[in-house]
Amino acid sequence: MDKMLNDEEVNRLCRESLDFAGIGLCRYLCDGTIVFIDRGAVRILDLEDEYPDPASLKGKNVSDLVQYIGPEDELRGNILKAGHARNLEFRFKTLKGEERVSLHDSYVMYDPETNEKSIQLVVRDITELKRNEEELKAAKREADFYLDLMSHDLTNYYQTILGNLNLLERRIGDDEVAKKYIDTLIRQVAKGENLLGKVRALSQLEGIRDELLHGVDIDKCLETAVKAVKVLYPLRNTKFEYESGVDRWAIGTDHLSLIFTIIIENAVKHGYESAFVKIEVDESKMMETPAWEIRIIDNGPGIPGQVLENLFERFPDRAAAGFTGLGLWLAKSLVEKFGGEIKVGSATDGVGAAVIIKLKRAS
Amino acid sequence: MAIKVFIVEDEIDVLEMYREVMEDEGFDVVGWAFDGVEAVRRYAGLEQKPDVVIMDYRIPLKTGVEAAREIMSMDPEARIIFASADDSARKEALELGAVSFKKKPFTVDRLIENIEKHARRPNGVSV
Repeated sequence: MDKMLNDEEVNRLCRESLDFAGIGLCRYLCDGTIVFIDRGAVRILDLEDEYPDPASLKGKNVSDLVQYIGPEDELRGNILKAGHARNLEFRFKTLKGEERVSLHDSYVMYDPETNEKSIQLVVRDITELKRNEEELKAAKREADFYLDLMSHDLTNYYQTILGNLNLLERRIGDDEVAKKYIDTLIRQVAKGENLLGKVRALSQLEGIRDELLHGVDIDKCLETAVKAVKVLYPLRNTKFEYESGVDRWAIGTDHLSLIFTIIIENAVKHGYESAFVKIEVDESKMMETPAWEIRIIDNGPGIPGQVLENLFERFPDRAAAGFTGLGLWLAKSLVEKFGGEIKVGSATDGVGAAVIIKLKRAS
Repeated sequence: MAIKVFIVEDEIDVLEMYREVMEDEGFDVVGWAFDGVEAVRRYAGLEQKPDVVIMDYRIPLKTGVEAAREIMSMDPEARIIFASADDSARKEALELGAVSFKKKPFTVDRLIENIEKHARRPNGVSV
């Protein structure tokens, strides 16, 4: 028969589990006098060497054992006033002078032994986590710096190449073969800049916040995108059907033309030669919010079922089908940052594919 | 009378390409500078001000916007076309009074269209 555990054993097991999970418990009176502290908290506060027995810390003042970085009294006062505080980050220096960070959940309670008002802490060491976070941020800053440098300089090189090719074009007269070579080179410049644009947007994605969103002209972005795709795929001989409108502004950023470029580029790249891409823009709603619905419809072979399932995933296993996914994942991420929606399906007549983007209307 | 152009560009090959284009079009390059300080100093020293300034944004010593601000304070009628690989300063440049902001890379034809559209005296006619 299983042995029944008494309260003391249950408490001990609970404490051991918390200790195993890296969580410590501590209770101190309003003046900072410790009335209870467990091994986990002793470890987190880096007091194990000086105080191997947690019970020996009873009666000591917490302020003598750790040095909080910040207004400790004010914080303690706020906890006492509110009765509790969750997920508070504390930076402190240990007696050995090491800087650490811990995460606290604090509750005001009456100490069962003294019956005095006290603060009970559930504490977790997040020093390593914060260090990793800071290292990650520094690495991201460094990567962004190199990307910015590379992208700026590459664009200048593209400008020089493109400008000189344009100058050369003026001098070759009717030499059709030479013109063809120049066109190919100009297209490579456009492809390089297109790729740089995507990489730049990827690095900017995290930083797109609501306060950076503004009104963007849908028609202007669609025109830019169609022009860009025509330069990228002149040999596809794609026909575009698009009726531009006026005052069709959506909430977003200047990345909207990149979103359209990615979608249209996909339609052309994976479509038939001499394909047909139709773009429609209509008033719509997202829940009760006025929106624009932009439909980009092609008459290509459509999207295979197994690809459709994870079309907008970042690294789907479908490279064999010619879909690397990064562009569409980027398009979806950007649309979502704008508070919009994107979905894909079959065109209404069952031929080809239709990408439908909904964006909130801007006044 | 040829359109007079002043060029601020720190990338020597881009600058050379612009100069070739200007020559090709029959425009008159009245001066150029590789950095913001030189741009302001040389602009101030021009006896006859150019009809258009082509201004890069990321240039040494002063940004293109800073240089443009100083140029516009000495010549409020200056027509400045920004031509930059970095379009983060587009809003600031246009608010300052730049007539256009072109993100690199662009074709020679687009550059010429812009110069003719925004020059102080397009085709020699004052506007």
